[in-house]
Amino acid sequence: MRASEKQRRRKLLSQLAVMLVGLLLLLRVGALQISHARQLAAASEQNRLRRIPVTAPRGTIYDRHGAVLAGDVPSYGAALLAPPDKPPAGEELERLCALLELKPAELLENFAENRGYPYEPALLRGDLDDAMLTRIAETDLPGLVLVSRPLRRYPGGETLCHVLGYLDEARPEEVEEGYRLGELVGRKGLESTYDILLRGRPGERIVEVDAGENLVGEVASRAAVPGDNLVLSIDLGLQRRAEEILAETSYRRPYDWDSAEPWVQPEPGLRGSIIVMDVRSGEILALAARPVYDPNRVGFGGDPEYWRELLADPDKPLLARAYQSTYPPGSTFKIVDATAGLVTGVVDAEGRMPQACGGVFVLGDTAFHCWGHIGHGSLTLTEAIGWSCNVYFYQLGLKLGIENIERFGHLYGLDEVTGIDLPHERAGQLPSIARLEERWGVNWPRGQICNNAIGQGDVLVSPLELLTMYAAVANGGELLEPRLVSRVLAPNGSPRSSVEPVVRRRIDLGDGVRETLISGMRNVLRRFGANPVDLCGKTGTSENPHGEPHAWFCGFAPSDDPRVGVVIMIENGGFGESYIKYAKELAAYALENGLTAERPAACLDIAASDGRDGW
Amino acid sequence: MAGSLDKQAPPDRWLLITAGALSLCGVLVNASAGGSAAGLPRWLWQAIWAALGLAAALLVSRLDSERLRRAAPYLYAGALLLLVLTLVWPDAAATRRWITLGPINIQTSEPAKATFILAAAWFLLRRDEEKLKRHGPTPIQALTVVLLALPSLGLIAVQPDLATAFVFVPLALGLLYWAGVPGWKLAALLLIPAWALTALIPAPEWIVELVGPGPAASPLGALLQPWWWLGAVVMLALWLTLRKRTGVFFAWLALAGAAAGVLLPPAWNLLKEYQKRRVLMFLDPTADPKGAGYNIIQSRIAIGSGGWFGKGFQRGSQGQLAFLPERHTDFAFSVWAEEWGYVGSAVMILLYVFLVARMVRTASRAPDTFSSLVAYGLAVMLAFHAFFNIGMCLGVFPVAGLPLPFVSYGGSFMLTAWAAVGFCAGIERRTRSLSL
Repeated sequence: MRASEKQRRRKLLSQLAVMLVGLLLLLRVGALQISHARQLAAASEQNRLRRIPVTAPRGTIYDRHGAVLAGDVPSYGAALLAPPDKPPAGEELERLCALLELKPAELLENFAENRGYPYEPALLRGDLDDAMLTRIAETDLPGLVLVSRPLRRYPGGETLCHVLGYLDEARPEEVEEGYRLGELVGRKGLESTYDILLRGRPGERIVEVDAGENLVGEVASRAAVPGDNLVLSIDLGLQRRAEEILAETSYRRPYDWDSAEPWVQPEPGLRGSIIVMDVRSGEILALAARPVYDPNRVGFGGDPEYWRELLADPDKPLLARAYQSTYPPGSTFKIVDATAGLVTGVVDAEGRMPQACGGVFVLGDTAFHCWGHIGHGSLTLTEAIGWSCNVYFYQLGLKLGIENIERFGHLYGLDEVTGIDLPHERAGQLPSIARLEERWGVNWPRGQICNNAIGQGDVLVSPLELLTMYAAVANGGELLEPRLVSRVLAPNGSPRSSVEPVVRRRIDLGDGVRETLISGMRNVLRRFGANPVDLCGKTGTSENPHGEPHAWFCGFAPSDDPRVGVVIMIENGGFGESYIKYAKELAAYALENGLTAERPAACLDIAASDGRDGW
Repeated sequence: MAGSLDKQAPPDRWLLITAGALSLCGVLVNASAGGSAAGLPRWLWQAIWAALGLAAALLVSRLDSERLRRAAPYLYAGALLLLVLTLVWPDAAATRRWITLGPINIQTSEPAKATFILAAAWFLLRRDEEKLKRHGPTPIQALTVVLLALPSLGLIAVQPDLATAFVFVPLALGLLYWAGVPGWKLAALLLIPAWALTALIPAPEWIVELVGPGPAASPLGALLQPWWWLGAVVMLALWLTLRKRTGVFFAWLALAGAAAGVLLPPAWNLLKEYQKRRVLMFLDPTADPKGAGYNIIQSRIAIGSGGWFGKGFQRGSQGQLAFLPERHTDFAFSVWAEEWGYVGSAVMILLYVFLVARMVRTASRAPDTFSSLVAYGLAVMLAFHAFFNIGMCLGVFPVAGLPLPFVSYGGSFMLTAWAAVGFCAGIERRTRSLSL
C-alpha cells in the first residue's frame, strides 16, 4: 500500500505539529524549571501565598418608593493567616483568646474548621464589636487580619419577613454548586429566589506573607462585583397597615355565634394572611402573613435560642401562609361554580334553581344546610352570589358535576402554583372523580358534590391562588403570574431589566360572564354598609377540622374598572364578612395613593439616592 | 488469515513500551500524591489499571479491522446509550459523569470518544473508498461527521463536563483533515465561532444609551451589536478577496457565521442565570470560586521549584503538603515535574511526542483506509489530552478537567488510552506482515 503524495504531506505536517507543540511545552517548562527555578523554589520553600476571599456587597432591596427593605451593614471578622498545620500556641494563643474573648478550645476549633481551603485564612470570630475592632487594630499579632463580612439588616424587622427571607451560610451541598464555604446564601423569600442576582461575585486577594505570617504584600487581586438591587412593587405603608390589621384581628375572635357566652377571651394562636395586588399587572402591593418572625435574628449572625423557639412554635411563624398554606376556600369558591354554570350554559344571570332555598336541601337521606336558617327563597344567580346561598349552589353543583367544577377550578389555576417570585409555593387541590373514588369507592355519595360546590371537602386553595383567580375575573380573564420585583437595578443604579406582566392563561369570560360575576359580587357588598371605593367580592366562612371556621374575603375595586385586588384570610377567624371593612380600607389606600398607576414615577429616583444610608 | 499473521509479526512494541513507560510515571505520581480508594492505595489501583490496560491493548491489537468497521455504528450507538443512562442513573451527585456499578465508577464519556472515531471513520467510508482517497470527503460527508459528534458533545456538555465535550471538536476536525479536507478550510471554520462570539461582547456605553441595552433584551440579537457588525465587515472583506480561490465555500462559511451570530444572543438569554454562570466560569476560570487562579499559581510554583533534577520521589513539598489541588488527576503533571525536575518533565513530554508521532506514522502506513482514519483519530485524542493538560498545568491553557493519558488517576481513561495504543500496535503488525 503506497501512501499518496498528499497523504505523505499530511503525515509529515501532523508529526511536525506534534513536535512543535512538544518543543513549545519543553521551552515553557524550561522557562519555569530553569529560568525561574530559584525564585519559585523560594516560593515553595515556605509557601507564602494566602488567599483572602473578599465578600461582594449584596444588592439592596427597595420598596416601590425607594425605602430600604433589606441592606448590608459593615461588619468585620478576625481571621488568622497561618496554614492548618501551624495552629497558634503558647503566648500567641493566649493573646488571641484575650483579644477575641474566646476560650482556647473554641478558638482552636474555629482555626481548624472555619476555612475553605488550606491556603485561606481561618475565621476565628465573625462578629466583632467596636471595642474588639479597636483592640485588634492596635495589636501587632502576626497573621491576624480583618475580613469584611457585611451583615444583612432588615430595617423593618418583622415587617415583610415572609417576602424578604434571610441569609445563612452555605450548606455543604451548596458549596458543591459553586458557593464558597462560609458564603451567605439567601434562605426563603426574595433573598432566596433572587440570590444569584443579589449576591454579586466574590473577589479575592492573594497576598504574600513572611515566615512569621506577617503580610508582606499583595500578589494579585480580583475585585468583588456587587450584587444587583431589587425594586419591589410593595408599598411599605400599605404593607404596614396590612400587618397591623392582621395583628388586630387574628388574636381576637370577632364574634362568637354558637356559644352561650357572647364574648369569649381572646384566643392566641389565630393566624392569617393578607395580599393586595394590582389586578391588571399582577404586581403585589402588600403581602402579609401572621405570625411573623424577625429575619434580623435568624440565620447568619442570628440568635440560636430564638431560632429554636421559632421551630418549636406550634403556630409555625416561619411558614409564609399567604402562599405556602392551603385551606378550604368556602363560599369564595362559588365564583368557580358560577363561572362554570355561565360558560357551559347550565345557567344564565337570571337563572333560578328548581328548588327555592328554605334553609335546607335534602339529597337522599342527607340534609345540607344553608347558613340562612330561614331560607333565601327563590334566587337568580346574581342574587344567589349576593346572598351566598348554599342551597342554590348545591343544586348548581349537582347540575355541573364534579368534572366541570374541576375543569373551571383548574382554568382559574387553583390547583397549580401561581409562579410568584417566591420559593416553595404550595399549590391547592381540586375535587375530582378519581379523588372521590379513592376515598369513597366507585359509589361515592353524590352529596360530596354539594360539599365541593361550596368550597368544602376536597377543595384547598392558598390565599395567593384565590387572589389571582379573582384578579382574572377582574381583568377580563387574564390569569397572571404575580410579581414582587418590578425592576432590577445594576449596582450603580442604572436599570438592568424591568419585569413585565406574565399572563399564564387567558380564560374566556365573554358574553357577559364577567359582568354577571361582578354584578353578583356587588350584591355581596350591598349587604355590608357604605362602600365608597366600590369594592366587590365574595366572603367565605369555611368549616375545617381545626375548630372555628376560617374567614375569607376576596375581592377587588372599583367594580366598574377593577384595579386593586385584596384577599384576607384569617384562620379560625369566624365569619368572612367581619373583615370586609379592612378590605375596603386597604383598597382605598391603594387607589388613593395611585399604587396601581401604569408605572410609579417614584421608582425612577432610586438610582439617584443610593438609599443604602437610609438607616 | 489472522492466525497466520500472529506468527509472522508481533504488535508494534515501541508503542507498547512508550505507553508502559508513561503508565509507570502515572504509578509513581500516584504513589507520591498518596491517598487510597476502596481500601487500596491509589498507586496500586493505577498499577492494576495499567496492567489491565496492557491486556486490553493486546486484545485490541488482534481485532479484525473489517469486523470492527462493521460494528462501528453499533458501538457508537451503545456508547450514546451509556451517555443517556449516565444522565438518568440514580446517583446523589449533582454532576453526572459516571455510572456507578458497585465499587466501580465508569466514566461514560471515554467510550463515547473512542467509538465516535470508529463511527466517523465508518461513515466516511460507507460510500466509495476510492473516491474518498482521491477527492476527500464531500461537504455533505464532512457535515455529517460533525453531526455525528453533536449528540455526544451535547450529552457530555449537560453532565456537565464541557471540557470533555470540547474534545470532540479536535477529534472531528482531525478526522476530516486526515480524510482529505484541506487544512486551510478547517482553519477557516474557526471564523464561525469567532465571529458569532462577537455578538456577546457588551456594546460600548454610548451605543447602549442610543439604542437601549441591545441583545440582552432584544430578539433581534446580534443585529444590534456593534462588534458583530465589525466582524461582518471583516468577513465581507475576506470573502471579496478570497472568493476567486475559495468558490462557494467561503460564502457558506459566512452564512453559517451570520446565522450563529444572530441566534447566539437570544439562545444565551434563554439560559438560566446559573447556567450562564457555569458557561462564563468555563470561559473565564479565574472566576471559579474554588480558585483556579490560585491553583495555577501553586501549580507553577510546584513545577518551577523542581529545578533541573527535581526534589526527588515523594519529596515534592507542593504536592505532599496539599498546596496542589487535584494532584492525582488534573495536576498530576505538576507533581511529576516537581519531583523529577526538568529532566523528568522533558522525558514525559518527549514520550508523548514520540507516542503521537508514532501513531501518526502508523496511520499513514495502515493497510486499509478505515484503520488509517481510526489510528489518526486516536492519535489526535491522546495528543489533545496530553498537551492540553500539560499546557493547563503550565498556565498556558484555561483550567479544565482533561486527564493526562496514562498518568492521571482513573481507570476508564487508562483503559481507553491503552486500547487506542493497542489498536495502532495491531495495525503495525498487519502492515509488516503484508510487506514481508
